[in-house]
Amino acid sequence: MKTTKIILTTIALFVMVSCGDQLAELNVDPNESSTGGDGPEVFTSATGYYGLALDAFFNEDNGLFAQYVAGGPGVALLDLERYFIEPTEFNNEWLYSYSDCLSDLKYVNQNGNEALANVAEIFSVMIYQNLVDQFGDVPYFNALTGADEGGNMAPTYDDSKTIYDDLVVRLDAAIEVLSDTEEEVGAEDLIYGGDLERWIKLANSLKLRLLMRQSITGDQAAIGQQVRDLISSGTFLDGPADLARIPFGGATGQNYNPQFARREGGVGQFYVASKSSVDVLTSLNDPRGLAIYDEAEGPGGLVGLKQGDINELVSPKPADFSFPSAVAYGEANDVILMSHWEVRFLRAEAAMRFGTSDNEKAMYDAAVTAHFIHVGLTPADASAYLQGNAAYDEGATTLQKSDLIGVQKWISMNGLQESEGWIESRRFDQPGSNVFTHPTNGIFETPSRSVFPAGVFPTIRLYPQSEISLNAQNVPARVITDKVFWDN
Amino acid sequence: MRKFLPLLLCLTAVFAFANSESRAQSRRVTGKITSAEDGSLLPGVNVVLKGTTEGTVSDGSGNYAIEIPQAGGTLVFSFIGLISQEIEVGTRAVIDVQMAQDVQQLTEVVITALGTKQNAREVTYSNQTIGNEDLLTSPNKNALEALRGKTAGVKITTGSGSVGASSRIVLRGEASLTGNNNALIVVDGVPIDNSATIGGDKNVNAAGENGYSDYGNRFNDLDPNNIESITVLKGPAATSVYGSRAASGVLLITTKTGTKGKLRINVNSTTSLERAYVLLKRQNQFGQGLINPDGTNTIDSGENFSWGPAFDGVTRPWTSPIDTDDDGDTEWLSRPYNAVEDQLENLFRTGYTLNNGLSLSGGDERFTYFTSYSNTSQNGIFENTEYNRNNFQTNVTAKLHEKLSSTLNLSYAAVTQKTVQEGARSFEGQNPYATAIQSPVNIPFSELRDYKNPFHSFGGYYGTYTINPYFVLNEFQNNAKINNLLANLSLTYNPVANLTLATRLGVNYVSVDRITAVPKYAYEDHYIWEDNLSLVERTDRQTNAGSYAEELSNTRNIDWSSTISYTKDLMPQLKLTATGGFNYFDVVQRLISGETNGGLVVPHVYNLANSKDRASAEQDHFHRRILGALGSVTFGWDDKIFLTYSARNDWSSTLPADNQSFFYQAVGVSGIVSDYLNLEESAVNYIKLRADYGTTGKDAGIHQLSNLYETNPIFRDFGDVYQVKSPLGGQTSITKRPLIGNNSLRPELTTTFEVGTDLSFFDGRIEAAYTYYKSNSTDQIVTVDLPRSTGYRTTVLNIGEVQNKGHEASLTLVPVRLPNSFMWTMNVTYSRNRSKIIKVSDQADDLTYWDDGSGITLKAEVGQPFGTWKGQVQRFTPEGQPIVDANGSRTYTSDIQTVGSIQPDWIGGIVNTFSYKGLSLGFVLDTRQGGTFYSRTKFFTEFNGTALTTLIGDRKPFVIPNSVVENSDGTFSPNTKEILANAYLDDGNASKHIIDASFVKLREVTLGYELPKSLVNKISLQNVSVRFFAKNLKFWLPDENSYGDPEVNGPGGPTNIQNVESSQTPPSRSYGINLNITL
Repeated sequence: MKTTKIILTTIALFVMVSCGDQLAELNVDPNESSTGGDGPEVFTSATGYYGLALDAFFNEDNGLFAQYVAGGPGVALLDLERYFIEPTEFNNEWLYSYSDCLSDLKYVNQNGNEALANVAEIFSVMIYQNLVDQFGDVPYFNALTGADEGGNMAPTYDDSKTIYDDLVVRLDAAIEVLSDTEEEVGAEDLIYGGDLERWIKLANSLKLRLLMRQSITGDQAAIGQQVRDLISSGTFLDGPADLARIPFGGATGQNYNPQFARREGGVGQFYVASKSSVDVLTSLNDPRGLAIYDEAEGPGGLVGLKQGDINELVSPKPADFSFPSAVAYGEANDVILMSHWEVRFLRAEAAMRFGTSDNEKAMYDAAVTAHFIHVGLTPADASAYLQGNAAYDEGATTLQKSDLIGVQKWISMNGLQESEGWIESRRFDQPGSNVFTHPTNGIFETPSRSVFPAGVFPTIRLYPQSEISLNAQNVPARVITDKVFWDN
Repeated sequence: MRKFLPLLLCLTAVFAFANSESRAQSRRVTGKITSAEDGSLLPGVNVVLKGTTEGTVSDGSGNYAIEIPQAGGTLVFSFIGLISQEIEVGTRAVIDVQMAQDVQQLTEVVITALGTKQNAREVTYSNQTIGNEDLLTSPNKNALEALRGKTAGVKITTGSGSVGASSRIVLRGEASLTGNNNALIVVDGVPIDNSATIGGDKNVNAAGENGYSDYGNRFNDLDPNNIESITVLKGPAATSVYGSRAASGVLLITTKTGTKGKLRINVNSTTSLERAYVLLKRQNQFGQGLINPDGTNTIDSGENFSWGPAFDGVTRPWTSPIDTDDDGDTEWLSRPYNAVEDQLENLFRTGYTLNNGLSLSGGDERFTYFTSYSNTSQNGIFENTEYNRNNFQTNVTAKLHEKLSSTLNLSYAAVTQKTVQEGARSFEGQNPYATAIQSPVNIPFSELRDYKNPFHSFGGYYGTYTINPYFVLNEFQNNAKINNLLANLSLTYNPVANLTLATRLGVNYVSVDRITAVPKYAYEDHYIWEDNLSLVERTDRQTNAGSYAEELSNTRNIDWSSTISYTKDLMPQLKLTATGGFNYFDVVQRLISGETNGGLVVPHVYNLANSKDRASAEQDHFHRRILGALGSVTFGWDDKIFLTYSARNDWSSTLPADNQSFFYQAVGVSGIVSDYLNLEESAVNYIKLRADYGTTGKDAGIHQLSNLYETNPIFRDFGDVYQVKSPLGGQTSITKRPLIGNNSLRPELTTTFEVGTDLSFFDGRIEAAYTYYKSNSTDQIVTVDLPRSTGYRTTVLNIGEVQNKGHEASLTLVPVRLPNSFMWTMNVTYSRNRSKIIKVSDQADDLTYWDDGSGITLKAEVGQPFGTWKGQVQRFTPEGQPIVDANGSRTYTSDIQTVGSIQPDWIGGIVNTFSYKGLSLGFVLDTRQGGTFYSRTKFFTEFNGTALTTLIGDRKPFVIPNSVVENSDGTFSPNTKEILANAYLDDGNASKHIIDASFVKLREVTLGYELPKSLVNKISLQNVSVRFFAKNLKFWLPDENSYGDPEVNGPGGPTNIQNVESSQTPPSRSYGINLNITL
């Protein structure tokens, strides 16, 4: 009996020691943090994720859509290239944009100091604009609330134009705060190292991008007025130091350029120069041809491959074709968010359409020259080119000038801003000339074995499979030839 | 703690009650209990005064002494396996008793969920116990393997045919949408860590696409020869003791103990040879090269394609020209352009397994012991694959005191394993088998074995997309060292005959050290033969910067339970057994791993310091605990009708503080109907009916309750070298974890109803058991994928519901039993399970387990069975004609449809044994019918032109028979567009790689001979037997499966991704001999 009492007492003591409130404490994860602090590190994370989303996914697909590259030796014909596209193709860009960048930026916006919060705001606007330009209507007003009290687990889709309008309002608000904040942003800002002046420039430039997207199909009078006001009052990206880009370190920093990492970590870099791009560059005798692409090892010179033609060739060799050069493809290449030449093209176009305080020809020349310098050529090279095949004729029709700016802008984004290049090729492709998609004269060639008839190209992304599966009640129907609201 | 108090008070009260009975005026009866068979003394026999709780047990000399009231009384003598006797005392003071063995009862003792032996009559739930003899009809390296074909309702799959691979064991179908559906393994009352150990690519996903090495489940570490029996518990009764962890059922393993008697020495030795059983069938008509759009062929000696010209027997070079002797000229190897006979078979060597075991056992009345050592060493069918296991086991029972006994079980296993990588894309070169099946059918592997020969090495070897598989086998390393210690101490105290206090403390400590080493290599540029023996230089991309990774983990489980049991005859016919107790379960796991980055500095030095960029480290640590309080009561009426009620409350650390306590219960009833019928003259001997109803709770996974932030995330890993990660630009970073924590999670609940019967006819010549069950698992904790626009990827919610229902039947027959001792026995099992997803979540009707981007996904979908394949399916006209497109290629629906399910229709097994005197012949057949699997081997071999299907149209342009094209007005016209085999097969659709997973397998054939006792005894031995056995002699697969073993799919463990075949090492046939001598 005595023994039994001892046993039971021991059991009781043991149980008392080992249960109760202590139990919950065991479930605290020792491997992860329970907070993101006041935001600087989270901002850096958002930057990294967006570099990944933009370069490894948006730029990767859009390089094909914008016909900068074609699938070359090393793979069978890509479904993507013949526009046989499944919604699963677009899961990643959606995932990284929403669930990583925008969500991290929301945290920064709520927890960071005034300056960092508004820098995050500008960054968010840039990402949302891209989502609209790629996907059309997207979840916006009730997005990103999953972890909030009563959060929306199935965000609805908002009208693109309404989102655009709100983005402009948000930019104005952020510019206002940043213009007279006492707070600072530090080295967590990999884009501008905490230089708030440059963030204001980027904000104005993004606002110009938002307005100019609507410059052809939108309310011309209203947009024109907004653009004129903006140009006369704002500061813009205007030189290499202003270039908005995310740096990647390559092998040394173990941070490879995302597009490089995706290709090298997969089947390799098998994309060769597209014949569409090569034909344009050759016809313009454009010295940038051999800056954007390398010479074909075998035959020498610029050799492109027609989109989708890889399966038609009997035994193609890599040496038969030109590949993207180090400017366009490299382990430590930056990911460009917005370039100063892009902004100059926007300003030239704005002056051309709406008569702003800028000189349209001077802006156009400055844009082309900036790109020449970026790819390693000289101002003299640019000057010769601008007096020759790419000369800007102020007396030409609006459509002719628009086509010229459009084509030059498209060239300037080859290998650097493929995503923006594709977006702008859709906008500049206007009735009357259809400079890119005209079935016979267009720059774009209908890929061999395209699932579409000649002259039909993708004009939007499909909603990703993840939305079709997980947000079925809200995701709109979509075919890849639908258009976003500002498209012609 | 509050919730424990009532229970403790209750237990204390019971105890006090039991001991507070005062002794009345009494007299003493003594006696000696002996065996009716051989007169030996019987210790441990229960002696109870009928109708009271007064009792004792006989001591080591078979003597007993009991105080009984002055007048009359009846003593009941009972012992498991012996026929109980009731003897009226009258006026006698000495009563000696002879007890006879109860032959029928002996076979019907079952191990209950409490881990104790119980008469099968009293058990209300379905159970099946496989004894040592049935388990080891032929020697096995792994006891799970031995269960195949012998139990109903058990589905076993394996991760690989390589050495020491893991097994997954699912009872009655998967019930948890996202949780672990593997059965809990309990060894001598202590749940063990049975997690699968997987190595290889750190990005390995559950389907094994990225390459994994399979180091087995920890259950593999047990020596099957030490197992006395395995009991399979499937219903809710199983969980009364092991609680939520047992929600997927339990395998109760009982290891051997010593028996009273002089020292017995057993020597057991097994040797077997293994040959790869290659199930992949390849075409043998076309060799290396390309097929052109016009149907002509081009020779290309660098290709992995077998789309080249038809074989013509003309001698041609098959290696690249290289200068091997520095004479300025090149040399190469040639052979007739023909398919290589038994090409894949010759890739493998003959495996060899040796198992030697020695055990000592014996004991006396107070002390028994069983101690064994065994070694299993295996050379796998692949070169450089090895498995070596040393097992030490000591089980001791001791009667410390008349009323106090104890057992101590100690087992230790030390395992070393060298294996290969499974799965993966073949191009990646990590999986030697996948690499080999990428090769054209005219490449002679037997010659490539000498991989250092320059012709077979990076200069001469043909591959542009492959490397020599023997280079992979010899130069890549996938090794593990495993130490597994299981210690189990129990004490049982019987203060009086009808009261038992028992406590058991088990500790399981497992440490695993695994390494993955990839050599640094680069293909030299090489020359490829094209048509007309012209040469072209090719720059290859087969290079590897090398890598090394090491992962150390240790897991420590403590399981401590204490119970108090009380039996009392409430009325002469009504017996009560009550048990109460608690259980403490605690797991700590620590893992630390390091890997090189960016490649190796110096080749062949496998050390983290040899990393080109700074090596990186990861750490993971978790701790979880479950406390349980349990109780059960059984009422037995006249030893014929039994009613059991059990209840349990668990407190789990993985649930929120408010919900961490959960209660569940079960009730069961059984009746021996035959005892109430007059069956004396009938063929029917025994009819038992039983029914059970109960609930089981299950807790959540670890760390799911709150939102967390990850420091320095890897933004995306594009492979070993190419990462996009933090720190970025020298800046550290933090990101929000994409899981929304849920602080209001509740436990999952499974409600099961089962009803069944156990029957015996013709004096036991026919025995049958049948069970119908239905279980609903509700409130399932599901990791739900969220629309990414919520800002998150997943959250955990209590929403899913899964239903499983089915039938299980087993039949044991003795069709022939002749007086001359010839006997034929046969055991048949059958089970079918139907699972159905009732609900996934409020947002979605499906849950994706696996999606590799190929267009086929594995899902749980409402209304469908667990594990449904979804994809686009081929389009046909209403008349059944295939609709093709303008290229003459098959077309597929634009919407996603159900392609198949991973669930088999039914599983069955037959064990046959013929015996005559010492001679026995047995075979085991088992089958799984229905269900489908996704074959990546099919995809790759159709792509590279080696599958049998690539012979369609004799590789000439052909029109798909009876095909039509769709006109713009919706009508159809006959199709005339021709297509080539390669374009026909490679049309981007993956649904056609879902194939029938049915099989029938002749698992084993055994011929044994036990030497006559008379002969054996002459040479002072007790027993000598010898057995010859063959395993996996023959598989019968459906015609459409010419690719692989449908049972081998993906790594084991808790994953719910199943039936994805990714070119794993094939199974083996083995032939062996076993010698068993008892001294």
